[in-house]
Amino acid sequence: MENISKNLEQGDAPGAGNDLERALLARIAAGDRDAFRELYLRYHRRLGRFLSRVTRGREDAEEVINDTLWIVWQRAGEFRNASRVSTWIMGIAYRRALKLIRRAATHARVVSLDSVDAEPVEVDALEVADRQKLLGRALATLPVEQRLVLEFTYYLDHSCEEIAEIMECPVNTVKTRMFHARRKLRLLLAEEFPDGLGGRRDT
Amino acid sequence: MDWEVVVTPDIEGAVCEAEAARLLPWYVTGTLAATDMERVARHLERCAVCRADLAHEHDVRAAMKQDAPTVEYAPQAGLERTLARIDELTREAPPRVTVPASRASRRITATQWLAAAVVVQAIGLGVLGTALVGRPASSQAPASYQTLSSPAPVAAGARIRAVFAPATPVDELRTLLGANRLAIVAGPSEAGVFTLAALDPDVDAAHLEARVAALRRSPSVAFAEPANDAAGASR
Repeated sequence: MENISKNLEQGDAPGAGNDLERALLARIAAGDRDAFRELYLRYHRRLGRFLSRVTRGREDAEEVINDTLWIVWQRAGEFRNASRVSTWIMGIAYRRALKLIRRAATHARVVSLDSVDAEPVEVDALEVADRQKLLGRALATLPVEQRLVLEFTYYLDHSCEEIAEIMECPVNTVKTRMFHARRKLRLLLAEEFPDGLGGRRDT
Repeated sequence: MDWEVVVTPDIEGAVCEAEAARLLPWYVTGTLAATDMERVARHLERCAVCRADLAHEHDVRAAMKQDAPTVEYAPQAGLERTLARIDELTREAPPRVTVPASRASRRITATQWLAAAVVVQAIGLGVLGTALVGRPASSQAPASYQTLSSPAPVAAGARIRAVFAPATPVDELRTLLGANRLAIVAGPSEAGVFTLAALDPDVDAAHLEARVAALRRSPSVAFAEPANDAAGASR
């Protein structure tokens, strides 16, 4: 239990507790609600964090979280041990989120997936001091696919191959998305933090 | 795959295009295979561009780890709702069988009329759901799960997209839908669009058109149109 709450803290490595999660899935497949409860709480924050990067608000994020875990309940028996549990669940969440984004795009006049989120970023001088906020805004200018690769890599510590599995694309595509994302992020941040995001550094 | 240092000058700064440069983020997180970890390490010894990038990537990672979502999530409420859906599922049908999601509300912080609209939706889904459960299991659906955010697989065609005026009272909405034999099956979308289905699935186009016209006459309806491409919109 202590382990779980520790992992829930933030940005926990998805590898931590994979065995535990596999055991939870097995129990869920057998209809065990307590196991479901535990898995739900384990994933709520992780999913919420990544979904807050792609959806427009809390309601959408909540909807995707609940849909995702609802699907997990129904399909727990189909989970193959080839993947890690978190890769499998993130994949489901990713597809649910894409559906929601596309549906929103159909109804709004927005057409392409990439333009759904590419809002112009104006850097308010008063907020420049807040590098977290600035990073968030810089991330928001990236196309959603690129932003997600960053998120899966740096926040959730997924490997390149796992991200390819989650996003159902070739590994090389993941690398290319990351390459472009880093480059853009770097240019955006370099303007604001000539000394680096981490502050002054010795060269 | 090029592991040599491949630095190209660029107006925006030097860029290394070696494979190692592309793997740098996963070198930072230590999730590369051992051989690749070693290759990147060797590349870093020789490539100043990548060494500078490495420092930057460490900073980005640290910042992203710290950066908390701006909204607070309340897992308990969502958990209870999801458990309620599971209860519904197990009560109404054997597990792992397609059943339209019912009664759980889709949005948490909706305004009152919206919350009530969900109840209307639930009633509609209940009716349609009963019809569906009686149907033989379809053989074509590999992913046969059903969620609240995907429209229930009711009657092919016979759908209407509508936007209601924001201040529409629930009673009025109920009367309007009832009079036109319609139920809410999905929505509101991001743009506030509800998908309505005819309660009589075999309704013909002329009758559907008449119902759309009736909706449009209502002051509570801001927008209504037939949506026979409903399947496409929901995919």
